[in-house]
Amino acid sequence: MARSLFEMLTILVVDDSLHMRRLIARLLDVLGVGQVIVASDGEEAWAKFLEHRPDVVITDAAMKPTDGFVLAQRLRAIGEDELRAVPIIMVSAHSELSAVERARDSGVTDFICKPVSPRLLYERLVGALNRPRKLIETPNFTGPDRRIDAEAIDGPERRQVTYI
Amino acid sequence: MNDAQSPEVPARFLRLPSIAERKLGADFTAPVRLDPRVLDQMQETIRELTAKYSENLKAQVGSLFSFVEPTGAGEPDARNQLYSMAHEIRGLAGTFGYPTVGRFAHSLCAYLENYKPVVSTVLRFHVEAMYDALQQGGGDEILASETLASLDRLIALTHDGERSAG
Repeated sequence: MARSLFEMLTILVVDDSLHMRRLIARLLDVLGVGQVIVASDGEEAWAKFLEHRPDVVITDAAMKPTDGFVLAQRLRAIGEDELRAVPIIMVSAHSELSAVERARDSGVTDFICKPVSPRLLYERLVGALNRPRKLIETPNFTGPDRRIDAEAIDGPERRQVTYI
Repeated sequence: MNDAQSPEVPARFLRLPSIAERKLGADFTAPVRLDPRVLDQMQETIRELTAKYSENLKAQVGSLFSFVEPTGAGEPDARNQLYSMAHEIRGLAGTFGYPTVGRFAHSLCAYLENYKPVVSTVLRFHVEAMYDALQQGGGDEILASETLASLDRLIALTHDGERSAG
């Protein structure tokens, strides 16, 4: 069953390192992913995203001219719901808290610190595939809703919510 | 919590089914465990790519030496190049079986991120540590830890308590 799901996937891999692009693309290939698209920075990724409409984006953080944080923000601002809700997995050598917080604030779904292990990549990918996609949209932020059950919150701490 | 502490923020939720459900239908069986045979294939893939990467890593570490003196002399382009290469090494070396080289690269990046100006001696110490670890086929973790502790002491002595200048 896992194989058949992977065969239906298109995944966009974004990294300015040829070796890392090649590595992740090959690992996804071994997992049986149907189509792997690669890009070397956020600008190229943006164009390929609009062209191929991938199911998942796996992106590096630090790239020039357009980095992974800006790419995530652009993806979260897309008008079409299906595209705006794309899972974004950031893979970065920047393991410091500020980088993780910046990724979170940019709307990234999940964060992997390099070096990459096959098992970790698989687990994060499967998590992204299995979880219902819930985005929270406020004037300052669009990204995954990290609360376990948004509907369970009630009383004075509940924010104004409009379900769409 | 009163209103002053918790201002209301207009928010809305977008709720879409999982990708697995969208692709396979509502009665889908989600993949959970990684087949050990597939994991073996993935690890074999890394081994295959390691040979290509090793050659690249040796060339990269070799060229790092050329950026040491210009960076110590305050040339911004050299500093950027040195940081960029060290950053790539810290991200890749561990994946391809050179974790100690990755640790030295991480330390070099941290030094470049936290100090300005930087000192050639400290830069060279890092690059030589990477070079030696490569020459030893990856290096020894315990020795690497001792070397990194020495590097920390060298940085503290060299900069004598001054703090990050980004």
